[in-house]
Amino acid sequence: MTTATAVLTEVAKSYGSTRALEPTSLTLGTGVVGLLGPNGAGKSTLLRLLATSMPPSSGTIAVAGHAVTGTMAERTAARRVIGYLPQEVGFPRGMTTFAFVDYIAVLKEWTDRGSRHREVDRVLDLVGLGDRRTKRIRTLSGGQRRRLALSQAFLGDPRLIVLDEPTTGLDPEQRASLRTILSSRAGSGTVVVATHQTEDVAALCDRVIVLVDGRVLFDGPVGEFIATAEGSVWVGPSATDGHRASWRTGTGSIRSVGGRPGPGQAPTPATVEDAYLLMLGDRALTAQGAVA
Amino acid sequence: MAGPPAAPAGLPDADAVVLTASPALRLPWILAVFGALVFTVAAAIVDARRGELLYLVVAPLLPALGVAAAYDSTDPIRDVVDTTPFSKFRITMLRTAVVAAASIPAALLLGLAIPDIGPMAFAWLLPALALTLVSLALLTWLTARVTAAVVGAGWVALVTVLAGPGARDLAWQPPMQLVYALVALAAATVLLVRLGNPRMQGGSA
Repeated sequence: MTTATAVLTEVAKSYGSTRALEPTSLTLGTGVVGLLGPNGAGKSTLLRLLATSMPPSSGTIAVAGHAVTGTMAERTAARRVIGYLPQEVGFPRGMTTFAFVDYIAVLKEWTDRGSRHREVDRVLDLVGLGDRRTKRIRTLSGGQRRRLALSQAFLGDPRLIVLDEPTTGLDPEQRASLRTILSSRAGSGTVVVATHQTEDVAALCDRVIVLVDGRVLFDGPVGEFIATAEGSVWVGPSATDGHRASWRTGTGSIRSVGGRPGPGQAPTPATVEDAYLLMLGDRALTAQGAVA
Repeated sequence: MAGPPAAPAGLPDADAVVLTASPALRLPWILAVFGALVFTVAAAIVDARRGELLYLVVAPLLPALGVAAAYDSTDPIRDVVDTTPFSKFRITMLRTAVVAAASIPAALLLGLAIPDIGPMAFAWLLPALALTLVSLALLTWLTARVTAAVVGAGWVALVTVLAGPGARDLAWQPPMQLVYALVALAAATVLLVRLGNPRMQGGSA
């Protein structure tokens, strides 16, 4: 029997009169969960709630059996098993990379200096910044800063890792490296990743949750998600009638998602991106800026 | 230029890292030293009464603005810090201790720069405590810059209103000192309630 890492029960969040997350219930077990949705869908809100960065307006959240919405002691206990990467981290740029992670390590209760420094070195090596440990943050590139932000989320191998758009600013090699790191965590913990990169979901996730307007539109295995688009994706010399999206591929043929196929158009295996485009319809193509 | 102090001997290593999280706490030190220098120059070029008034305005504000500055410099990683199990109350007190270590000696030195100020050189301590605690309480709602602006403007306005017949009365007479003590107590209560409030962003521990 698998113990759930996190359980959300009828969790909702409003900012003033704006409802960012409708009452939502989720159970997160081990594995990597991809969170997809247009801008303003409520992805970051859901992640911040999971990470205990803010309280829900209603409902309850439990992480590793500890009620985040309960007593202070329970919330603190939950925080001991959480690693969190916010969407944006504004660094104290004069700090060195080591000092920054060391500071966060202290806040994560690594009180023994020797073991803490070894752990800081470990996570910096993990994200490929071991040779930048003495560099000031202001001298790092955007991708390096993103990896530095990521590194603190891995301190202590937390049971629940919550990552808000972790691959933003990373080059393909770094993204592949991150996938390796995250997939290695999948067997023993839970990783929740909000992303706009559907290929990351396809490559990494066991489960995908699609959020739209603060509501869960889909929640299930990635294979099932892709299956929702099977038979709806076509390649041919022209776009299908009534397609949701279409584009010219590198081979010169036109790939169409949705619509009615015409002469010369053949079905082709669907991808996560196809399923996402179909499921969200026009919302996927004209993402609305709203409360993130 | 002054930087954050080396961690005092005997301080737990973890607290020392929080205290010396350079440059997160450098700004309050710069503020305190720069404020002291500016004040010293100002006190030297104005008459004694205005120097006194200036002292009453500036000295209590140094710790309060220092606390706000300490928060402003670490606000960028607040989202991360809020989700850690480290006691937010402890962080608050450690930051305040660093600021106090810089600003209290600076404010006492300011007192020495004013001729014949006598025991009034210590009259700012209770208002400083009150303003610092009010700042800490406001920081649980407002950003550091807004807090600094509200506390700074509020204090200057109070001094301006009350300082008419005699600035000494404002800070020196027992009734006003009692008011400062009550304000400090109220702000401390609000702070403790807010830090223990699970509905506050980041909660507390």
